[in-house]
Amino acid sequence: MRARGSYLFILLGILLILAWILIFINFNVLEEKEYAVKFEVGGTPGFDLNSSALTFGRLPAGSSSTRSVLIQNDYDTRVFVSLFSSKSVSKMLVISENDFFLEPQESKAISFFVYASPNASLGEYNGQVKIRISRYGGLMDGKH
Amino acid sequence: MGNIKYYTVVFFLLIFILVFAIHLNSTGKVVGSVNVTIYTLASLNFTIKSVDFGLGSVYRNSSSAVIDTTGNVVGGNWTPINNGFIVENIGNTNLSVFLKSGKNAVEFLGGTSPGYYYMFNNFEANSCTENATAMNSWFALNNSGLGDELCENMQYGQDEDSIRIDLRLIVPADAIRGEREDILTVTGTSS
Repeated sequence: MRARGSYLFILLGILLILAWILIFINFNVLEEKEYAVKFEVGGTPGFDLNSSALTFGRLPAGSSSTRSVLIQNDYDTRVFVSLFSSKSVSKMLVISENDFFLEPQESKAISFFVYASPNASLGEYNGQVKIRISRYGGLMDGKH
Repeated sequence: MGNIKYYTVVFFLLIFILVFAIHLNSTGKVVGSVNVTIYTLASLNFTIKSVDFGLGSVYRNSSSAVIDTTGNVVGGNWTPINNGFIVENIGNTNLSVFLKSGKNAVEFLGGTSPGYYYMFNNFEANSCTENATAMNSWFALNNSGLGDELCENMQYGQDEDSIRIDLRLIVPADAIRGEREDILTVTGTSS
């Protein structure tokens, strides 16, 4: 009887911790913004300057392309910024800075760098970059 | 009886979490948003190896050789090439286009009075409607800032959205020997 009670206690404890984490994550993340990422490898160099997506145009193999975004904190409090790229583009996409705090009204320019290696597969690459804004960051942003 | 104690502890903990959550919700609200602006500027970097002049040397009786991507070879034994590179506007806004080298002529080639030049032209007619640099003329490559602005208004329409950039080297007889490489950056911006 005592053993059964102990198991029940452990189970409830786990549920409690899960509830705690869920509540924190829910309160921690303030907003998420998602942007399409698109580039093509092969052929002649080409520009595609879309202001609503991270389009890098066309890159011959062995070349690279860079685009930047400005992230400005218009909250009345300090926020934590994390950037995530989808698997389909993450191997070729480098983000200049990640996981940082922004004070109110502070802004930061972040560069996205795509490198098409000489042996990269030719064709079109599509993916997403997600920008997550949270209060605390670290363990509490559900990332780790 | 023991079990009841456990339940009591858990019950009070849940109540505590609930109160904490309500407290967070009522006092921890933040106001505002984060603005993200995607700059309408992109830089494409190529190595000049992509424009490969191949192996060659300056003739013994010549102080330098001139080679370019329009098929000229004077004073040396390089194989003529005709492969300047084409830059296209595959987006849906007009662009300004800049060209920058990674090195100047001395850094790239060395020797006495080297030269490192570019020339640009429309590849498809009417692609550049407002050129900032004269077409069909050779200019020394610029390795500072964004480099030289070639075109202020590069179109994006079908069959009128590409320019060609050619390169010319003046290789002195006493130039640095061995394989030479540079990185060219073409930057496109739109307002």
